[in-house]
Amino acid sequence: MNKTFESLERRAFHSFWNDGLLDLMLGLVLLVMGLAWWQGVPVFGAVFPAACMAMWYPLRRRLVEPRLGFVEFSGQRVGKVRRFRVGLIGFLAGAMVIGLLVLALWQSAILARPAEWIAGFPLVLLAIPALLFALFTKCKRFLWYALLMLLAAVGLVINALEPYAGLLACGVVISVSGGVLLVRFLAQYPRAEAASE
Amino acid sequence: MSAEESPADLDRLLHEPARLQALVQLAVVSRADFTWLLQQTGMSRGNLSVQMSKLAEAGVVKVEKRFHNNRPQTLYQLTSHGRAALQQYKESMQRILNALPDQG
Repeated sequence: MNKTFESLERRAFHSFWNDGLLDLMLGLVLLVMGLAWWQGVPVFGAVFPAACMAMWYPLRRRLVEPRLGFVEFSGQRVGKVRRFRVGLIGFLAGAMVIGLLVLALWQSAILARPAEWIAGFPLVLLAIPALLFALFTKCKRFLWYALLMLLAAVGLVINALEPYAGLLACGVVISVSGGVLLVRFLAQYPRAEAASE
Repeated sequence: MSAEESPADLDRLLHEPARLQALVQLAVVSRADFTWLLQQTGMSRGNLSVQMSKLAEAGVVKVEKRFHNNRPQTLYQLTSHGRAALQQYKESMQRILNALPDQG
């Protein structure tokens, strides 16, 4: 593929992610994780992202596909997406397991009281996939979400706040952003009666 | 411009902005449905439908009709003949434009 075709393919791939559904899910994940942490049930917060990942495609098929249409990208792109997804799931699963393990060790007092900077660690862990996703899809707003999470992590440490405060704050902002994008998308692209002539 | 190649020799099926636009969209993906092409090209349903029918009749695109999510769906895919025709068109166009003297 030459440069013009590559850029067209990238534009088509980029437009695939502009509906706001993923943003809304990311925001909800942060909100639920924050609430679960606040209420002392962090395990629920760890399970919810997996449920969201499983729900994304059926929701996309129901809400987005009838409006934006169906596309199957080239084999090369499909391979890249598969590798990225496997890497992302591996990273998130690893981060969750390590997070829950460390939390359990603190609660059982096996580990010493953590340093103050650790409060920002969950948000830093979540900012990394957002940053990688932004680079992969060229969706700049995910870069802003990653930056927001990193700034919130710093804010938590400086103000000696609990991690859930940062998760909730970022969750609200990203959910609202995703919600606005989704509403705009639904208004801009009316549902086609049929995806045929 | 070479004696063998002139704008009049360009593939007229492809040398039409609406059809070319749809073909270029199909060239960068594996396959896409009517709605996707509609959104990406910004054409009207009627215009896109007419252009895609012409491309299908010429064997440039393959058409597959199916039900997806309980809705009728028409999928389009560039055929190998279509890919070759698009490549040929691109090369011809490049040669013609390269032979054009610089203006100003």
